[in-house]
Amino acid sequence: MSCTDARRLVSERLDGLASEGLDEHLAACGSCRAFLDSAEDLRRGIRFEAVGAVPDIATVVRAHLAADPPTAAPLRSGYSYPNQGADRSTRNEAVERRRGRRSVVAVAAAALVAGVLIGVNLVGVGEDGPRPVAAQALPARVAAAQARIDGLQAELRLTERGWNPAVPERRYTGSLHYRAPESLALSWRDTTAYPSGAWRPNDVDLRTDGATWVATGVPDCPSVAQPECSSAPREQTVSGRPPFADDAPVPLDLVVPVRSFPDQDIAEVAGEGTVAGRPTVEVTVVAAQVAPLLEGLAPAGNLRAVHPTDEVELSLDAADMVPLRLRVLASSDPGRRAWAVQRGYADRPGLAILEMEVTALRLAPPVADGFAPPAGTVAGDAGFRPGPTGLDLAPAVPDGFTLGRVGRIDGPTPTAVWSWSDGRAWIRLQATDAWSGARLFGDLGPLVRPVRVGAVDAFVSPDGRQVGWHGDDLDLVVDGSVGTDTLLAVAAATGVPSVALPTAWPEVRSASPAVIRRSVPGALSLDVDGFEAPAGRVDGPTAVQFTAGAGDRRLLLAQTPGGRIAQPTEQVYESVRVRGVDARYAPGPNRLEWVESGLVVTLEGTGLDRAELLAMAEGLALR
Amino acid sequence: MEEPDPVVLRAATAGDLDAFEALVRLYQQPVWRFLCHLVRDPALAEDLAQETFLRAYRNLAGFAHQSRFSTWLFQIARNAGIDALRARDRGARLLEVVPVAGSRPSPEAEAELNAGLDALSPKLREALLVVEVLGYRYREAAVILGVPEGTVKSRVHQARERLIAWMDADAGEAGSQAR
Repeated sequence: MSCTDARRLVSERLDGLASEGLDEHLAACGSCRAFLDSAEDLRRGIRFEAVGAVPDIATVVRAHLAADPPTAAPLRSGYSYPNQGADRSTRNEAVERRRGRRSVVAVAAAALVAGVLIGVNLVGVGEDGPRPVAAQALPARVAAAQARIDGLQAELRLTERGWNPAVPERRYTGSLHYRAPESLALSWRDTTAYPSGAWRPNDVDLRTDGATWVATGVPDCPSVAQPECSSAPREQTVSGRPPFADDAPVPLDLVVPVRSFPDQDIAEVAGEGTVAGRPTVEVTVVAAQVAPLLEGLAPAGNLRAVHPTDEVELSLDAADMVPLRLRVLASSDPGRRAWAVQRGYADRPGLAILEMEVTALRLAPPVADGFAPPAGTVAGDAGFRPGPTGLDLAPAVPDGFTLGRVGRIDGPTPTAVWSWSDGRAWIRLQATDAWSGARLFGDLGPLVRPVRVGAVDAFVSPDGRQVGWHGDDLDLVVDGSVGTDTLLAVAAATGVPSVALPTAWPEVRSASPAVIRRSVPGALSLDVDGFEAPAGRVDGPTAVQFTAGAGDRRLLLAQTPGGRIAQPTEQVYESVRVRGVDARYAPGPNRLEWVESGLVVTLEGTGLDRAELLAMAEGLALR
Repeated sequence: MEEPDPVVLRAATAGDLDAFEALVRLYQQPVWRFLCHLVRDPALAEDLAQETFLRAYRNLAGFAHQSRFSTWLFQIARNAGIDALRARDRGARLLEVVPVAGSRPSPEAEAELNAGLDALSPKLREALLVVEVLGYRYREAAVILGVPEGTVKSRVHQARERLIAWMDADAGEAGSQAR
């Protein structure tokens, strides 16, 4: 018995399962005995860990119910509820970063379909809807533009509304400086006249030269608790930052919004204009689609949140696709009101809650290099060391790219990193010979799409931006701001062939649509316009498919044999009709559940509104 | 986990607020404790525990005895906790994923354990909590977490391995005065 197996059995024994053969191994293996001791210590620690006095929740709940007795959930009679095997974890990961959507034309069409479905009259979409004036697809133009940008200097203006009833509007001036591939300085100066000195201005600074990263701003706290909850600005610092590290992010979508318009997106130019003397193309999308861009505006501080269904009017530089103006309008989505109230926002549908505009733009890197943090800044070390990677691997430089930072990340899993860039476009390869995880290296998410390229059986993350594989003594992952095909080509060019995955890894159960169809007869396929080809998995009788669209748009489809949907666990449900049958819709998680062809079907969306989710449910088919 | 008196449960389902309050009193401690560990914030856990019971009250009519009542209740608590984690602000998320060296925990076991739990992903953390803190078997934990039994088993094991490695690393660091 290997130590890996023995430790797994230790865990199972602690949880009450049989563990045959374990005692023999423990008798001979000191390190596994130590693991058992540690696991028992951990159990004691965690069970007896003090978490403070238990608050009196019963009295508060009782008072709530007495004051406002909730009506029963609007469930149709006749439902009863077996449990589903659907992998909700997929949803959790997927939904961590929400927001995202596509062209207004598509939304209008979806809303129309849904309107018919749910018996609502929709007015004003259709004939009067926006029509593309230039049929070129934006994604191709955005993808091409990123290689042309070597740097920029922009002066900015930002207006924020609805953040707090006592401060109906906040105004900022700012600047954005960028030098390819990952040096960036963004600053906002809050020029708002606040009601009193108790309110702290929301000044924000981000400065990074790639290797070091410093963000400064007031810690966020709920708007309803302002100004008392506000505390002094805080500095977050990282040194030894690995190339293009996600956890100390550089908001490159402010330069060219690549993540908002991936290859498969169907956004089209809907108008033309001029900003800061430069010709622009205009597109209207929902906030979820441009989430990486919106999040990039506030790397620190307490700028208000945007609802995923809010409408965003975006003007991009016609030649270089730099975002020059954006306007976020509060949507009239049914779930939005509660969302705004909870956050203390004074919003109403149609209110322009954020307006950002570039007032001057120069497409060249700044002359003075002010990206490095000031001397003396004490930074937490993220572990990257430029220099030798420690691995006997010499990946070729991808066509058109130049070699960027190369080195090694120290830590429990020492990892070699190569990065290449072409303007703002970047590609990164990470490899390790010390991977001990029980799944694919590289955090591709719980569901992946198997793809064969050359001698590599690779796995693609649902958003198409990561390609991972398992070699004989190496585990590797390629990611970047370029399309999946380019990432796959880089993977194949490393010359590291794949070997079969360990049978215990969950990716072994990755399934193509054909496998899903064979394993779960009657299963619908999650092929949706504007989204990546679905990643899928078969877990016993359950098929789960997952796909990503632009920005933070995500869809999860789970199907499992059964005749009844699960017991209710959400606060609010609505009854709807989907595909000719009664269905249950939960606005909280944006989830539809129904029974079709002997399968319990769950469709859950992030960054989509109810109407669009309903339309997508209607469009699902056997393929 | 203790199950409620069927008479009390029936009365609560029929809208009897006294009966429902008795249910809340029976479960408020484990629900709040579970949420505390899950979201790592006692005040937020208190709000979420309230929301859990309000959701449960609203849905009592739909509770169909397909699982134990407590399993269903923790499913609701877990959903509420995960929703809150999703909504957590960017800054907090960032701090969660970039444990800066200077903020490493003190050697005291409790702080160390807390920091280790903080460093786990929510998926691993919730699996460990449902099994370790609430004492559920894999089968029921699978219902609460909405994942297959095998997934619970492997997540609990991974969580243990990481926490043990975390604490070992910390002990080594403290011992060698590396920093």
